[in-house]
Amino acid sequence: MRTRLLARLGLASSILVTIALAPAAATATEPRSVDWLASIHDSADLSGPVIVAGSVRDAKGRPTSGRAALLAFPPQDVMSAMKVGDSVRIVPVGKGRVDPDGTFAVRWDPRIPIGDFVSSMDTVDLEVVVEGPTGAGVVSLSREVTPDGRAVEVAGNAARDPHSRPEVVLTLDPRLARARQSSESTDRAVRDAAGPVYCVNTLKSIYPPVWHLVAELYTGPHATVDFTYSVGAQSTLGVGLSVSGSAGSFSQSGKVTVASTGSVNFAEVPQNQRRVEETQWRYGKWDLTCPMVPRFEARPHSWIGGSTYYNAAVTPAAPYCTPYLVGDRPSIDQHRAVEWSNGVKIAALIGVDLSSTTGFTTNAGQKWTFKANGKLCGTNAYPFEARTIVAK
Amino acid sequence: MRGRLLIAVGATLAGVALVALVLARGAYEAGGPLASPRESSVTTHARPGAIMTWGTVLPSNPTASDLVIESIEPSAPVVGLTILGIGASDPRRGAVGTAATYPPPGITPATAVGSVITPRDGPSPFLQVIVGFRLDDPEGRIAGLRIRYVTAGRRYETVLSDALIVVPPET
Repeated sequence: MRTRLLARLGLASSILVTIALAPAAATATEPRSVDWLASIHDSADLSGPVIVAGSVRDAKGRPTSGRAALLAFPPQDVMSAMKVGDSVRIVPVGKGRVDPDGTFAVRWDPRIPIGDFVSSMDTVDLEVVVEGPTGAGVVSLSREVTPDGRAVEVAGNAARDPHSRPEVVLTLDPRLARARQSSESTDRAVRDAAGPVYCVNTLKSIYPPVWHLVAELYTGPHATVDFTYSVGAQSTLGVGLSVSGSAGSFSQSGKVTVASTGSVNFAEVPQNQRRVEETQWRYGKWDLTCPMVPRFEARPHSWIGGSTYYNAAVTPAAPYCTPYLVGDRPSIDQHRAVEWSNGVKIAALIGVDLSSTTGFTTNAGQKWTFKANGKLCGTNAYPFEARTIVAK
Repeated sequence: MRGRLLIAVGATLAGVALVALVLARGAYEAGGPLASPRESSVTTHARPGAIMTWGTVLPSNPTASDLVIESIEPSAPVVGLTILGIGASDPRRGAVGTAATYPPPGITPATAVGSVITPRDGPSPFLQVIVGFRLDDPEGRIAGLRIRYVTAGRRYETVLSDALIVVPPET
């Protein structure tokens, strides 16, 4: 782990560069087919685990063929350290064909070392870019790495969480293809003198802090609860995508896993409360100059902290109950919690709220105390496996 | 002489291979579909001599195949208490987190061996482990549960970080 941290810090110092792009040498505006990511092995020729699989549809919902690229982002601590105007390379690490039935599967090219991309949470932030005849599609996601840190896998939480399984469905957006064809950036082909194509991600601005929902707590008449959210607590936050980058033009295109870098001291929630707890993140507006699909993205930049709450309107139905005695203190850490489709309140800045999920990791947990005999109940399963816990 | 030597070496290698095969067939893979990152605990209060029940519902079965329990036992030596029994039941017919008796009221734990957890859309998607214990010392602890099971022809051993902590009453 220490070696990985040092490697990451080394990457941070080397990757945070302001890249002076060479003047464009205008070439064809059609998607490259001959030398498309020539330095990357096609996934069909590899035998490693599939990192992302899925299907592609056109705007009318019909399966369509095309090609898919897998891009790897630097880890969160590198992105969080960037200032407005800084740029960082986004590197293709896999590619594959989209078959006529619309399906695709992409593997990580094993010649590309994974260590440079691994976060402190042992995850890698990725993006799938699909290009087809009628448009393009982009989705962001995070994947875990194997315990030895040498490969990306769909494991642990990701394997158990249907939202994180490898299958993704992409709908081609004609606007993204037009952006590629019309943008000068298409041909500012961000390419090393010797070789591989990559994208340049420039931090254009940092949005004001936005509230991020981290827990729903329903204490009922017999229990209280302490919610802890401390250093390293993981959340999965939505990523916004836009062709123009203008306010109000973003739509969600996936999500990435992030971790808090400090602690929030939420007050103990007394009995008979319905609280929705929130903390703050800052999002950045990023300009991806990319030979595949140039675009703007709203991505998490850095954790701010702070806490607030509002009162939920109703208590959700929770039929899966386990009784406890007065004085009992059940506590639960480290399991995937509910995903809130509008958990990141950023609509006023980019036009749409984004999703969020907070896992009750070892750094984020619920510690209940029963003041009288009562029950903990889950909304969709028994409490230790439930999306939301309600005390009764 | 040379022929006898070859026969002896061959027989030895065959024996080693047979033993390895037997050991492999009896071995459990670590983790498996019940492996869960969750870490839970229940702290309850009792005095020495008290007989109580602790219950915990196992993680759900994310596979498409039934999962059959072969054994459930504490994952580490228990401290300060004596286990009176480990059973299983369907929590939909009566769940228990803690109870001040054993067996808990209204619940008859069955043997855990042979219990089945079906996929979520099957008839028995939940399985509750029920542990009866007597507190011997002022404080007691069960650190977790080791669960051995078979599904889709493969045998797994999962250590579940569900803990029981017993402390003296506060008053």
